[in-house]
Amino acid sequence: MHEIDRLVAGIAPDPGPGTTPIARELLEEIISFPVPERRPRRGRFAVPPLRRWAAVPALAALAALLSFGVAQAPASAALDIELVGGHYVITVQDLLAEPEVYQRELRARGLDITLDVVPTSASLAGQIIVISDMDRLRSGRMVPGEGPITTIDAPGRCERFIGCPIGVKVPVGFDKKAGIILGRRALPGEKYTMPPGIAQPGEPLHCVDYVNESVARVSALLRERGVTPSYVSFGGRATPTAPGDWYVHDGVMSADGQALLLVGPERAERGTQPASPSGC
Amino acid sequence: MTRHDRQQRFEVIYVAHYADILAYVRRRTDSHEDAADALAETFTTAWRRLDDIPEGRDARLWLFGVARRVLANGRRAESRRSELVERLGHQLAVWAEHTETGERLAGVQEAFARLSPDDREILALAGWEGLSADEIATVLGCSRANARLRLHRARKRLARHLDTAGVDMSRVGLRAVAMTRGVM
Repeated sequence: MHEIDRLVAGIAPDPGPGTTPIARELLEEIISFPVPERRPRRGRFAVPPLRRWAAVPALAALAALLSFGVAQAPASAALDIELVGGHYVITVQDLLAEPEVYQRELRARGLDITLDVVPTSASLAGQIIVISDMDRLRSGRMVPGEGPITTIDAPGRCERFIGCPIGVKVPVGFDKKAGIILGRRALPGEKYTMPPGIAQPGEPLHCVDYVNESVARVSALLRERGVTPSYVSFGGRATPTAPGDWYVHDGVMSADGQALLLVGPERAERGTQPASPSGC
Repeated sequence: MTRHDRQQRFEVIYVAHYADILAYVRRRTDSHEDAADALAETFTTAWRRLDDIPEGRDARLWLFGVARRVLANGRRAESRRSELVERLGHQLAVWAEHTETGERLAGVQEAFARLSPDDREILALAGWEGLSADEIATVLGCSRANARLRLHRARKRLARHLDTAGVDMSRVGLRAVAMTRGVM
């Protein structure tokens, strides 16, 4: 080593704690993000340019990436709308834009689509719910899930139970009133508008059969995992305590580190129990 | 590549280089939150662009290059950090409290601080990350000849600052003293 380099090495600041358990958590978080479409390969050693306002063409990836703040875009480009073979392919560039901004950009293409980006947990970030015909829904009729508006999944195998959507495809000339709800990672302290069940994959009690367990037991399980429960019984308001010998009927995550349990003095009847979580 | 293959390849790269990238970002920002943020963003970029990452040892250089750009892009809004990244930032802060910073080679630190950011970065890549001039060229995206020239000049400028500051050159070595006088 050159002597000056050795001298510089002598003043190197401490390298930090190295690989800690949080590093493993970060790895898990990152690889849970959907894989974006393959980009053309650059030169072997080329370092990809990182624009200040990185525009990542993946709706779901963005939702997940929000936590790292990459998904910021100028206010004028809240959406990326591309015309591909008779369809608009729409991806969200700025997950925190005002709803009116999305609306304006969609209206500019003649689309009467409301896009709501709502806070949720890491496991549901990226989930897209499409309601293809709002007027039909408002008139009390069922709206078929398979509509003219479809979600586009990331290529390759998808291992997330909610799918790996990266955007939506809308036929050009689509003239109905439609609604799209996209889950984004909640900000610290923000309540979830799209709350996941506590036993869903990626949530604290994944694969725990908690329904009709006692309040005391489920609360202890949640607290062990760093989650603070609050309780609600039918017709009541959420409270920070509940009788320990009551039964838990259902539970959702209401914010990062917070759960809301539906509890009652009796066991829940069959049929009111939440569907058994997938992937156990 | 299936998703499983991708995850496996990413995990190998992540585990092999996490500590290096952590050290890289920590050493270049005073804010623990920013260091955690940059670390997470560097690896998130790597996950998205896994197909662009070169094989073998060069993966590390690629990651340094990304980390460098992430840091250059500046601080992100605090509200956009995940709870996990906040915890990581907190962990780094706690770690720093228990680490001696000391007045080790204070004269060298002062002289180093007087260099331009470009000079500091190239010397740090050599001294802190232990990279050769050719490897530095890869990280900085310049030609090897250019990297060698820049490294040479940066060393020379540091040696001159040390001399001006009256740092005991006997600790630095004769070659460095010679450099300050343009004898190299």
